[in-house]
Amino acid sequence: MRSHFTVHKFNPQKNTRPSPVEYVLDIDPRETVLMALTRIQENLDPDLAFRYACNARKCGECGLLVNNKAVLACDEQVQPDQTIEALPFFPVIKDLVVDTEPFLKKTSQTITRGMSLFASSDRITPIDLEVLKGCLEPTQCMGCLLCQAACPLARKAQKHFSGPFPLLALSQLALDPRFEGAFTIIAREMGAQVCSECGKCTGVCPQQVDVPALFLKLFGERRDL
Amino acid sequence: MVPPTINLTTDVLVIGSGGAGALAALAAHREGARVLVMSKENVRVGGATVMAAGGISVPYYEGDSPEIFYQDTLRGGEYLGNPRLVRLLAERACRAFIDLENCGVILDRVDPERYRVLIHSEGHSVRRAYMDRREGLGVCQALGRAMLHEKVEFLPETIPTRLLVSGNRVLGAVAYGFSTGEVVVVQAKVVILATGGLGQLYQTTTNGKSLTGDGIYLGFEAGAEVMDMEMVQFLPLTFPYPASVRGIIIGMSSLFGPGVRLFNKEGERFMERYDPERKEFVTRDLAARANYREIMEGRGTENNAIWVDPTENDRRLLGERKASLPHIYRMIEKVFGPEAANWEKPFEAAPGQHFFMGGLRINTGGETSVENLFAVGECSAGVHGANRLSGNALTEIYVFGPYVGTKAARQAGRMKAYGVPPRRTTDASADLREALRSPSPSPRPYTIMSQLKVVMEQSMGPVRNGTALEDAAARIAGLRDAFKKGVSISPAHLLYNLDLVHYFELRSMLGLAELMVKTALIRKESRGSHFRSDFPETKGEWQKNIILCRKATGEVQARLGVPGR
Repeated sequence: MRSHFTVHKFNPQKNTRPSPVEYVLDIDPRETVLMALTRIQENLDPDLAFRYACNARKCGECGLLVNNKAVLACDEQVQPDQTIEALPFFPVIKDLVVDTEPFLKKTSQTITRGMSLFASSDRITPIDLEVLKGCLEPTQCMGCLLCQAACPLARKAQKHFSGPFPLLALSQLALDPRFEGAFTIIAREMGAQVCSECGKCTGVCPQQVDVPALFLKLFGERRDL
Repeated sequence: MVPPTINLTTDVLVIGSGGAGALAALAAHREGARVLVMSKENVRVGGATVMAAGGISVPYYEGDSPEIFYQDTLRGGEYLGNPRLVRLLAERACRAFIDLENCGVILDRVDPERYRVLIHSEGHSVRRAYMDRREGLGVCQALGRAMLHEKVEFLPETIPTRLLVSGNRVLGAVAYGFSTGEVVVVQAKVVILATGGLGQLYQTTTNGKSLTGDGIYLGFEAGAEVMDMEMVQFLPLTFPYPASVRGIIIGMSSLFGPGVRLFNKEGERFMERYDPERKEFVTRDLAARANYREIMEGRGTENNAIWVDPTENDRRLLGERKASLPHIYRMIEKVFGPEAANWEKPFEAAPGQHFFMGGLRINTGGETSVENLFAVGECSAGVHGANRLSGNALTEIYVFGPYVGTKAARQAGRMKAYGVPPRRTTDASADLREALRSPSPSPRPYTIMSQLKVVMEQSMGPVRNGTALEDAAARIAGLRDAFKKGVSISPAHLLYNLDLVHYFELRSMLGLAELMVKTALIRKESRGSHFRSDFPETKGEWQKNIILCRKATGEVQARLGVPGR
């Protein structure tokens, strides 16, 4: 199949905005966008920057926008015509690579504020199986941040909404019975109630985690906190 | 070009951010040391750990004990493992699970107070495999969170280009930070290498793209001993097609129910020929070799694969298996269709490189032969001997990650001051200048890399022989010469230059390929994962490790060592 890929290239050290570059590639239609990017870097443009690690839909490192949808490049099939851009919301390092570190650090600071580390145990801590089930759902998150990039409210600063990923990260702690903290108060401060439950975050999640259902649970179950 | 350089100091420098590096870093941090984690990947816990799908060995189920686990592991490694390291593994495994939870991880359970130990994997004498419904993700996420929460310093997307040494002592490392475009010089009291394996030396591998053996190469070049470099594990079953999923893990036959059968293209249940008693339930080295031979000898499918037939199973077992391996079953459904994922139809699979048992030689404190240089996880050697048992890789990092991290932090605590490496700033940009020489015309790094992968796949696979190995040695020398003449890196800028990253990875890969072939030629017997068709017998006198070291003169010296001594 002959495919046209329009890739938005951007070097913030030199340019003020991304500019589209078109590449034409003959590629097996069963291949992935990640394979297309690899072929482009190898054969057409050594200067193209993109990020990935596992190539097996496990690590969540290759998130980007394909035809305006947040996807994992390793999990997205090639089409005859695709536009590929860096994930929105995060600052671009180069081309399709975004800087997630400040966001992750800030998220960590926000969600663990006032949280006490639980005491180390010398034996297995008993955890009720229903509670465990509640913990397993948010902890299957691969941290790809597609949800954050897809959220229409997170990008609107005046909404004071942290976005879905920090709230998911908060619910990982809040639903784990071993952690104690003012999680409901923090969730409110993060603007959880602003979420309109539009479902865009869940729609792009490779693990199909129902993100709003998880963090809205905090209000139901931890209203006393 | 004079690249911008930043200078950092730390007590403990951890290189690598898979599970081993993360656990070592957390333990060193909790011991009170200043810790810096340098990684080729982004801020996260990834490496091979995040890709692990199968079970994790823990001697926890009734009828099991550390002693039985110890015996199984030594036997599985065909007695090349270091008994003292194996003893540590076996005796600390149960506690390591609890300590993992003490780091904030929540592990999967069958009962409130029982971990989810479900499967009896091949090579283990009892049921010993912990299965997590989130596969590797639950652990990686929580460790990443703990590192951020405890403010362990992170240097992401930074590839080490050399270790700083003075005499036989490590003093830090020089690296290329590709997301910043800077040279980074880190002075450290101790360095822990946790860079994982080297699957990227092969065409078909279950390993992610970071697994290029950098730590083993840099340690060796710094003077550290390596051993068991011939011991490469292959997984019997990976996806054979399409190219973008080639090598992605399917696993062992046992994951597809007790009634699973393997067939070649002639419809023969060939495992009856290789092992009439255990058939599909042989250890993974035998299974991979049988599959590889069937394909190499022309009895594979048109996709160079064999058939996996789960249709004879009791379907009632399917739900539990699917719940334990959601990712693999989803991939099977995507590539082969829903019938294959529901045990209603056979599917194709091919063997692929999976794990490296060799690496840096360590003592029971995790120290290499270079002072203050530690190694942990897949880049170290000695725990798995000639073959790793299923599930033991994660147990290894759960046990040794924190153990080595603690030892390293204590060692750093005994060091009064940083060592001053000779001419470190000059050294720092020397590697980059060499890489960017780019004589014209010259090949791009990836072209040499793909040629190297072909050589390794053909000569250093599950079946080897002297002639092919001699030939491989000559071809690798040719590729190394081409590399030394210079490769093309254009444009020559420093910000996120993937060709420059590939250059340093290729340098590691070429160095290691040479050592691996050299060792495979020395071992004139078959043992564990090392099978020589010209020396198919296991020989008692070869129950020894082959140890390599670079002498001050530059030559590579080989010697034999008795495991554990």
